[in-house]
Amino acid sequence: MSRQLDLALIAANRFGLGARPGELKDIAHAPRDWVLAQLETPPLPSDALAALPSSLDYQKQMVEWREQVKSAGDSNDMADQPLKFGERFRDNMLAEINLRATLQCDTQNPVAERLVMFWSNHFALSNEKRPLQLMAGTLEREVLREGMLADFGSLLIAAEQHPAMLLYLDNQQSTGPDSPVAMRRARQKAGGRKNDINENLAREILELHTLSSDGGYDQDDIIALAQGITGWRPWIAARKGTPMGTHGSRFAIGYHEPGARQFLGEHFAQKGVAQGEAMLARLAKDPNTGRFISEKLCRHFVSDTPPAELVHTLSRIYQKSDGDLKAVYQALFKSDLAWQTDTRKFRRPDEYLIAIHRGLDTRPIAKQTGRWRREMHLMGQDAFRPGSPAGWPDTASQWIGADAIWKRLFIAQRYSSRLPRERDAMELARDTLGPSLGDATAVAISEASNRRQATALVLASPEFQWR
Amino acid sequence: MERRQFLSLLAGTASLTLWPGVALTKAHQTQAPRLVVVVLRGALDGLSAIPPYGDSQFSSRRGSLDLGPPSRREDSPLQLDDTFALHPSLAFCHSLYRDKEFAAVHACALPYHGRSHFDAQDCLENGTDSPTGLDTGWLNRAVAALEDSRGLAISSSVPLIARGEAPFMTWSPTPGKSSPEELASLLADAYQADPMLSDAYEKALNAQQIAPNEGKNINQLPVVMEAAGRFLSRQDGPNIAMVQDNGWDTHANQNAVLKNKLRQLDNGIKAVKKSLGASWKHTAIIVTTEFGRTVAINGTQGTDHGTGSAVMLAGGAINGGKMHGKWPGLAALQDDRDLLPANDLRGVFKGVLAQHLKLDRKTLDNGVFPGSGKVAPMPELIHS
Repeated sequence: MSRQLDLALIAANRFGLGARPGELKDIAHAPRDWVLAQLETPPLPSDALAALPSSLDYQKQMVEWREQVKSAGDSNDMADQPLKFGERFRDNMLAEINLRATLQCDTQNPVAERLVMFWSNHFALSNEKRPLQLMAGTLEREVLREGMLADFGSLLIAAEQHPAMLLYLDNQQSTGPDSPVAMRRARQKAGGRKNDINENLAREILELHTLSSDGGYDQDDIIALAQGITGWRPWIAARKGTPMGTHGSRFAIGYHEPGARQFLGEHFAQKGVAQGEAMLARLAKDPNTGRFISEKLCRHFVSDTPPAELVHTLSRIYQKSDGDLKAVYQALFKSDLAWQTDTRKFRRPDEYLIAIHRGLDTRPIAKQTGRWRREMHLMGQDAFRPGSPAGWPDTASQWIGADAIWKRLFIAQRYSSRLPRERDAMELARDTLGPSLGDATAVAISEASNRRQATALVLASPEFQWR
Repeated sequence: MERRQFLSLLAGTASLTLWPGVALTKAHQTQAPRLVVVVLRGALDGLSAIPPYGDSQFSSRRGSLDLGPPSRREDSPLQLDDTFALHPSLAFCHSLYRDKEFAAVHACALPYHGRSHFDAQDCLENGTDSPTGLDTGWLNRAVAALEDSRGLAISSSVPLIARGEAPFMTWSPTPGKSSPEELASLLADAYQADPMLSDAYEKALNAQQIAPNEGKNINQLPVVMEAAGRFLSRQDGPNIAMVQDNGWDTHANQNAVLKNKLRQLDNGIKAVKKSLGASWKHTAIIVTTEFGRTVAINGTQGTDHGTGSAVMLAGGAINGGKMHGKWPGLAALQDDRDLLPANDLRGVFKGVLAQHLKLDRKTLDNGVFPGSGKVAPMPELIHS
């Protein structure tokens, strides 16, 4: 039974989002099946998430707000001034954070939900830019939640065509130098507007989303891909274009750089939106992409230094199955190399906060609307703001620091009053830490002067910082 | 460390070491140089902080943002020389200027000339001309290049400027009155047994001895700069610190916002001088920002993203009582709207690192600010 409990702990904590009361014992009967079953019931958007505005709604609201600001600019009457962006959309931004957090704390499919978080960090958005303050959560809701069980090629195209991604990596600023728009501007000698490609999105697709930095491409490939995806625009920057993807983006041929081009040594003669899509499909088939995705999955689910053999196995499955992600996950969770008891992963601040809620069998308090955001900020992981398209780091050394530890002690103390009356702290420790509960922590809990302190000790213990 | 030692540490009776096992060397004696870098995020309007009231174009170009020439009026700017004054909220800095412990360089800019805050901040921190140039920070690379040097970031996670190979510890204020100190002490054995966490845990405890919970106004500059000074004043502590502050993006009602923000900065410098104690004499503080703001006022009594801004230098080590660098004047403007970038920001940083921390030119050109060989360290920023 003890071996089964070890495996149950890995399933619930390392693969899932933190064990809930009594859960370890249930999982222990068949840990592997518990994990694999979750790949069959995808975490479709909950009703609460479906109630959030779509990325297209958000773009329309921003246009409306911008027009209000513009017309108010002509008036000197302060009463005519519209709300500032942050005030106007504050409730939306908080709802995005809080509903997502509630879902993560509540979900019955924590392994699938962790996979969603993994892909959200792979196709990372960061909300420094104004449109992203509203839209940073929409890619995950609209594309990744369902797409992460499909093949990688489809997921890749859907993610890159999503308006939040196009806005985040500046593709609305990319204009083919020989495109109809650039030609017209040249004839009119319209100054000020740049008539050139913006390489941002193409560069990050190659480096961060597919081949990775040592994946065998060069600057010419970046330019070719950037040209191939010229004209891929969010609705807000091309309202009259041809609909592209399923989330309101547009293909605006006026901005597209015409012509065939060489990309990764192959010829791409497609016209219009098909050219960029063909390039992305080519990237999804590349063994370097399979290796990169496999390695990231193993690093996230197994160890900061993933076993090479497991990475190799997953890469092979990826290649054989044409990037069938479900097949890759199944290979991962079926391999004994993934179920090692002598490796561990340090919980990121969001994972820590989610695990606390799951352990206490509680959820974020709806009326404390700013709390999740504040606590994430306090622990150094601002919600929806990893700060770069590379996403949050996925190794312990990037998260462990003196201030990080102190803030977790503080958070643990804060949540120590939330243990339901009928449970005691030792039960909480056994429920959440199982066989990983060490002697020193157990002694500290048993010597605690009161129930609340004992609860805090469980949540603040070194064991609770790991998954 | 034994549990007994942890507990006596908590009781404040044990001697602290922030970097246990590291011998105290010359670098950490009281007279060894200290450096504080203050990053003002959002783009400080240099023309408000250090108004060039003597420039013939200034008054006409600034409109209601011009607070007038220095005078006996209480809220008038404080005179530095025939051209420049300090914002009236910077009274303590003004007294330092008279004591020759405050200086400034106007019209500074990065090689990055875009108008994106976060791209510019990335460049300011990674020390290159591109936001994706490097994923480590120049301050960390400076610490790495120095012998026995250690950094502190007043932040819950390590900001880009402090990321890299060299040791940087983190500290930031914890809100509320209930410190988790007792909780920490009860978990001493448990944390000590975790090889990955014991060091961070020990540093966290020690840091609390040096800078305990304050409970109020926790993110304001005076609080965090006072704490930075406490860490730097210790012989076993860090010798290089990074402090950051938000809220300098003054698109609207700039005069009111800056009056308050600059007063906080002024109080912050006052607080860090006090907590540094005897180490103040050996300290250089660099106050910097990602870019400047438009010279002209916009429609909402503020300014928009610009180019050149000012760097302030304070501390006992600073060659103060004067303005350094070139002044381009306001007759011609960058893109017809911004203060011209007359001084490369990296030249100012390199000047301080060269003269204060004795980093050689090759290290500065290739290691700390790669590809900056053509940018000379600005001379005479530190007094000899």
